[in-house]
Amino acid sequence: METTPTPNKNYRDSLAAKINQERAAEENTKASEILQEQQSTILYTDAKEEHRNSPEVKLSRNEHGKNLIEQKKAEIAAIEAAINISENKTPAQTQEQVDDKNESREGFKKQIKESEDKMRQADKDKDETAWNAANEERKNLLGESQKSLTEQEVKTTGDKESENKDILRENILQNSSVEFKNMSNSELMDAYKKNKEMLDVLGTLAAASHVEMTNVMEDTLIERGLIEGPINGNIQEDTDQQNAPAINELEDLNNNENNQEESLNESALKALDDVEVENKDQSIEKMAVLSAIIASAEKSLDWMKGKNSPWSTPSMIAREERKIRNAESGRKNENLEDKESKKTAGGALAMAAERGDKLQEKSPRRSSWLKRNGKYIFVGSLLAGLLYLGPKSSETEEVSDKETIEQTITSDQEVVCGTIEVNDGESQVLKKALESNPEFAQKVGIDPNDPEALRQAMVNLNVIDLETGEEFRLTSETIGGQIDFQTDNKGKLVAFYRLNPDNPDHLDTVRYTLGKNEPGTYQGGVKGEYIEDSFGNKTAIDDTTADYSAFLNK
Amino acid sequence: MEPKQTLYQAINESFDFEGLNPEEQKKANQDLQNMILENTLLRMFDESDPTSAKKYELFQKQILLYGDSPESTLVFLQKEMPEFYDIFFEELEIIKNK
Repeated sequence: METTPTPNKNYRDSLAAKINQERAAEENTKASEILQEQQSTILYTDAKEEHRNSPEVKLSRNEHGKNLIEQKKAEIAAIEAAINISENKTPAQTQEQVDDKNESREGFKKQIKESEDKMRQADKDKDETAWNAANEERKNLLGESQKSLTEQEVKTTGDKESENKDILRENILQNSSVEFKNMSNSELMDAYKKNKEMLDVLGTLAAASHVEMTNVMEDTLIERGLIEGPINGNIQEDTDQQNAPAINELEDLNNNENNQEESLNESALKALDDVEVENKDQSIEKMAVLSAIIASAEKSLDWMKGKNSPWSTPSMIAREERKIRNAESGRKNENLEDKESKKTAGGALAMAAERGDKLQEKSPRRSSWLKRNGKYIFVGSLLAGLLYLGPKSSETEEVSDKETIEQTITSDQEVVCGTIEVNDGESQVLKKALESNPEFAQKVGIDPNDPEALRQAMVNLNVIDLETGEEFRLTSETIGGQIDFQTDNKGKLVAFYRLNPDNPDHLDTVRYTLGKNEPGTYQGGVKGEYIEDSFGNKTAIDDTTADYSAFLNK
Repeated sequence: MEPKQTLYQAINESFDFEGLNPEEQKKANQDLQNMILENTLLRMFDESDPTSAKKYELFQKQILLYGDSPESTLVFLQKEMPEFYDIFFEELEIIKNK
């Protein structure tokens, strides 16, 4: 059948060629990586959908559907024959025997529970005699139940050892496509039920759709856990004939064999309870995991499409939507739990933003400061790129080396505060602070009465333009506040402004990025300007009014 | 010696980046680093905790003066605020398990 090339088909052919090329070169891992990379893209999804709905694939599905129905019929007939031979009973009779066993178990369970109730009551009444009697009764019941259930099990499995039965079963099953001869009776029953159910599904759907192996049929089988994945129409399967469509449900039955055998050797009641609890727990656990994945992904999607849209790309949204689809279809294979339980990058961004909002509500002012200074805190994520998984002993030496090179602020340095009075510039504040703290003045090596030393200090603090020698000031008038002076880990004098009366722990410093004869720019975007000193030329200390009010508007 | 792992690698292993091209993966990783870093700092400098004021002031001074040097901030954090690492990874776990 000739197919008109479409963009989807071209994409699919190109991808298939690339994967086949890698496989031909025995680069199977690389081929898988290429496929995985493409699987979450919109291009892949569209191409896959178009391919699945193409006439040739539908035709192939029809054939496959018919073959599958025939195969299932043959397998059911073979199982029925095997059961009849081993037990000389019909499947219905075998089921009856199982029902009897369950009924007997229920009876014992009820009686034992009554004994335990009696024990609890006796304990409450502090009646030792009654407690001992109830305990004895319970022990007897446990023994009887174990004996009874073992007898029943022997009855149902006894013929399994029969040589004649094995010969007959082998003769009947030798031409079957499925290996039944090593199965126990209970396994045969399970296989019978599962095949019957699959045949019912296939028959019903085939009747409704004229024996077409449609996507609906496929999805129904997957949903009921009768097959593991798509039967056909998948790029991966098309390009890898060795991994052609497979119905693995009977193979899965073998996985249960060990568990079933073990349970026969355990205490009868314990086995009964364990089976019930285990099945219930597994089912609940599976449903809970899938529900949690869906709920989390839906929440993430809301954020990704709403508040978090600046961080969300179409690929992130597509991945999240695919995750929901996978969980909803219950397509749970052995890798799904690991893979799907990992939060997607888009989902993580949404959760991180939500968490950030809550923390910001608790610390609005500090959050605002962190945001304003984000360009320094998160320098292109270099900081995060440099940070390691916790300080390790092997890194101590490296950190020490960095400490000796890097200038940092340390908590062990003395801080000297100077109050800003009207008309003060930074140099005047420093002069007063040094005069009040002679030890600090000695430590930093600045004589407050030496104009040249003060000028040099202003140069070092970047308060003076090196080319013009002018001290940078803001316009308007000074309204107070204070300046903290201290040294860093290298003994260099540093200064911080504390100017906002509404926010006493708000700090600022001067960061000039100056060009010749251009206004200085303060970090945070506050614009200032420098003026000539009152002496007309390159004098550090002047009486010109300084103004820091612009900081208050930040 | 145990191989070193950066926060970039830790985040890469913690979340599912499937379906994103390499550039998108890198950007998403960086955005996550920044968000988790910010959340970590907000927790360390919680306004309702009076004991955090001094640390907040010290951190402000470091960033104001040497914030443009990641190496300097790295040394500062390791020496002055070693709990930063534990809180960062707690925040990472919160995002992973939320």
